[in-house]
Amino acid sequence: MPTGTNNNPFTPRGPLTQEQLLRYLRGELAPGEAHEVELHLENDPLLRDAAEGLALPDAMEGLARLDAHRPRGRMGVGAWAIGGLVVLATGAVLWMMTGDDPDRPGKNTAAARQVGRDSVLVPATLEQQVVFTTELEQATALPESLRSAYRGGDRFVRPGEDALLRDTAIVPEDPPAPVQVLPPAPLDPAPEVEEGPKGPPRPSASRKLMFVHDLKLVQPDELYPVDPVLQLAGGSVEARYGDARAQADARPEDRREPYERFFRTAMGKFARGDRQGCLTDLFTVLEQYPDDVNAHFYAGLCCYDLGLFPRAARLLDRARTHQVDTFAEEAEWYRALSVERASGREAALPLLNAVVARGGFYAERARKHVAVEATAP
Amino acid sequence: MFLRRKTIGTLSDEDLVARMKSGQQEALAALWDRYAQLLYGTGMKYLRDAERAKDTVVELFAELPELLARHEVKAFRPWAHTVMRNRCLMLLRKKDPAALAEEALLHAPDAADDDAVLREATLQRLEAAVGELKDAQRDCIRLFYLERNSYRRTAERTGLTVEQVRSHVQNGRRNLRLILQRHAHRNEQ
Repeated sequence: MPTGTNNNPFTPRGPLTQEQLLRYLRGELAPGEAHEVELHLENDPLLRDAAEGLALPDAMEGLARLDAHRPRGRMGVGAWAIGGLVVLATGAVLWMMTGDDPDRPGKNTAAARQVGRDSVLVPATLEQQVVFTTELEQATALPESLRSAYRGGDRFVRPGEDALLRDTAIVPEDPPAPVQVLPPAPLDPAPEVEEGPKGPPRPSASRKLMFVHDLKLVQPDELYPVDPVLQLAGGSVEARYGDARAQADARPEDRREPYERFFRTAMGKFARGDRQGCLTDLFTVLEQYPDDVNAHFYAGLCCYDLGLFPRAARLLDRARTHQVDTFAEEAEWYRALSVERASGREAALPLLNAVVARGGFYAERARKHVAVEATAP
Repeated sequence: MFLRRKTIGTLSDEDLVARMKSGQQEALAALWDRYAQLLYGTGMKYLRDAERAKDTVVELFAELPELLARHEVKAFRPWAHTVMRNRCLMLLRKKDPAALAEEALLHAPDAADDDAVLREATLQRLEAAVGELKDAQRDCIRLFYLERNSYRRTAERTGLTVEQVRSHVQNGRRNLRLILQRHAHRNEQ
């Protein structure tokens, strides 16, 4: 029986997203996932009231008109959230009309599938957010082009919290080791390219980047000759199909997702502090694209935050030595920290010194880190 | 560095409130994005009228700068929930005072919503406290919280309806908290 503060049965283990609540109301969640949503409902009176109200038959009618009254300001996730809730209410009404139980799997609607996937209804609790603010405050000293004051969405373990994180983390197994460097064959026929397919990626100081939830990613066309597509796993099975295979065979397009869209969801989880969710998504990428540098780097950070330091060190080493060197500097620094946590200071010292010697963004931090550790009792 | 700029969406509610007080309209919009739909759902629950629920949310946000200037709000989320709920109850009172009494009684939130005692309880104390609950509450608390079953699974295993399970879970949790607090006081003496 779980007890104590590190695996408390009364506390949800992560944030609740729009998508989770929607799927819960549609009855698409597995019992364990449904229980997680229900823990949120039990813990949050506002969410409980809101879910109850949104399930009423005419809730969506007013909700659709609500957004017209939004105060002026930069449009953020609100439009998506409101739109999603319209669909949520639709799903809830359908669910209520059919009299289904909340965690019955297999229910779905075409409209509900269109909802945005990454708006947060309940953020992670303070206990879940181990925020390492110093790490990011230092970034404000950067030039504007590189500056980051992004503090709330990133977290890093502190000494002593490793065990807690390890105890509570549910982390999938490592994806299989890569057997080839080239990505697997695309799911769709490759489009005709006049200039011929690109060659393998080469080190470059000017890779095309994209920012998703303010997190840096290498654009997929820098990594792959054709647009990569992810084959999704799991999910619910509609009642009209006998099993998941039958559904996948009948609607193969539903089981695929473009790389960028998939990463948008995964990075959304990362930005919200849902490291386990992000890691699961990134392992899906690595199973299909074993050499993906974006996935290696952020999976490494997820493992680091979850207290899985040996695994973090392995993943970050892959990102560090990848021929696309976009993350080399960051990966070297966090790998050194991972090795320190996993194997001790002695093992990490050469790596930290290498960061100092490189003289990049993390050099000063590494120098101070080495100096502080050296003077520690 | 792998991070870009700070976005308003990553700020805490309290940071947004502070920014709003300094006149940043963007912060008000961000609070709307986070809470309008939840407050609308709350309005729907109490008022059972989409138009009135929507109007109440819009009015609340229109008055938000003034309200926040007058009150020191330490935690925006529960504060906004309480304000919305109170406004709904006031509307119900105007419409039908008798209905209000019933509504308020049925849906009154927990007075002592301090779960620290639950989070900090040790295995032995929790076991002992659960044992003191009434049969149905004890079964539901065990199955839902301790064995991590969903409402539906709990209902299947107890023979209760999902609604009954939810009720027993809520009441059992409240009673569990009271029992643990009583035990703590007893130990202190």
